[in-house]
Amino acid sequence: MKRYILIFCILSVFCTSCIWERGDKDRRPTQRGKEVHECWFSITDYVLNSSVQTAFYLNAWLAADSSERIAIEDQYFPYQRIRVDEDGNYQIYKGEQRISTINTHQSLLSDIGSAWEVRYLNDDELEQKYGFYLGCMTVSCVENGCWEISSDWPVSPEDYLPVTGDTISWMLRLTAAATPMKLSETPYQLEGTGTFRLGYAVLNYQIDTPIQQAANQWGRLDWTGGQVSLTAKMYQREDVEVGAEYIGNGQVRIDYKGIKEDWDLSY
Amino acid sequence: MKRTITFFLLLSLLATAGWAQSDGVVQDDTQTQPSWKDYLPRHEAHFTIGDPIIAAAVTDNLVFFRMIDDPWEEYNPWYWFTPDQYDGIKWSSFALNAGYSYRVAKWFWVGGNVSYCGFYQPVYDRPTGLRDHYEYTHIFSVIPQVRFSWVNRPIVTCYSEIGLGFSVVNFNRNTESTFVQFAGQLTFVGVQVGYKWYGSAEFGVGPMGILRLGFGYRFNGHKNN
Repeated sequence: MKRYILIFCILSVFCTSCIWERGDKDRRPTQRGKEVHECWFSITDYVLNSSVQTAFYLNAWLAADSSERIAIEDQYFPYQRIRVDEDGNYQIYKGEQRISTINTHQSLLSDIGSAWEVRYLNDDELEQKYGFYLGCMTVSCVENGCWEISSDWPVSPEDYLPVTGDTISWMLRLTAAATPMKLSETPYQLEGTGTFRLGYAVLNYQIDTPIQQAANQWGRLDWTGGQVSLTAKMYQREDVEVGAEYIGNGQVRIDYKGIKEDWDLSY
Repeated sequence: MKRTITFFLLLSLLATAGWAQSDGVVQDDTQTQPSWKDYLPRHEAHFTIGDPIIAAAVTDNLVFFRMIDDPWEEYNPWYWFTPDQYDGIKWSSFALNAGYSYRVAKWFWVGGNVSYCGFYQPVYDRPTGLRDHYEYTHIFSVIPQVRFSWVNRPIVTCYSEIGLGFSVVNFNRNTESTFVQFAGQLTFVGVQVGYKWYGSAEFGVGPMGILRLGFGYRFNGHKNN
């Protein structure tokens, strides 16, 4: 009996010692789907909470009288200053850096039919991570309580992008009960479709079910409902398709290759 | 000139006498020195198992470190379009070595080794968890060698070895490829303990392993062995 135990121990040690390297199964099955969604979510977050938010702050400042403007500046443009250039564009500076240029065309965002051209400082992290450039956007009031945010990028055949036509465009439609001041504290609904350019790849999105934003005091996106379909494309590569459903509590359900898993939303 | 010729003749005689002594040639009728052939074996076959460290290092199966130049590299959308797979456990056969040595002189051997070392790793599809394919590396080495034994006892032998040969490497990582490269094996110190059957331990560097343990058999020795 002792001999068999000894032989078993020796064989066990021998077999275990044949493992040369452990595997790397430290990622979940839908990890890649989560990464694709994280890209779209980060870009949308930046568009809404940086660029569009600044436009609504400026709109509130323009709509206010002189005494209210000081309070708005103090609260929503801390350490910043608003200047008007010779063309009538509003420029917002933070220190010596110009972070935004907005052409209001002498209108307010609450005016139906208004179309503001908004340029906002490009986010270094989005540029380095995903190769995404914000560029110039148009924020338009299409009807009472409804705004469209859109942008177009020209493309050429030399870009080798898997798109048809000579432009890439994207659009988000934001619907709220009233003209928002602070977006994160305003319940609104988000719809839209379009294509983000990411270097040599593109990310198509389609919001299938309107996304519901819940008001919060943390200054971030808090989506409690809605669904979006994402398709990443690259020249001569197979498409990557991802579905995302917002289930509340800061979580999203990722659908990748038929497998669904819940993830925490990354900010 | 005559002195020079005389000197070389005497030197040759001296060397001949010395050689005669080492072979146990009878110098006179009263004393006979035993030859090493009387008590030391001339042939041996051996088998050893060695670690695969050197074999792994020369075939990219051993990663010491990975340099990351770009902190955002893992977020690059380009990676979305690569196969969504992960590596399973990598197994190694370790270095399996077999060889033969022939004793030319008491302290000098010639011989050779054949060696095999393999690495095997399954690759799985991440979403489904199913195995997609196997990646492997086979290393076959043929290394002729010479051995210098500096302790020569009937039961204990200590030695050093030098070998130079070649390895045939066949691997499959996405694509299959085969190439031949030089292979050298250096044994700094080796010890054999035993009579006919013996155990051995060797320390050196090469595709056969840094530390090798094994056994062997000595045969065709003198009738007294």
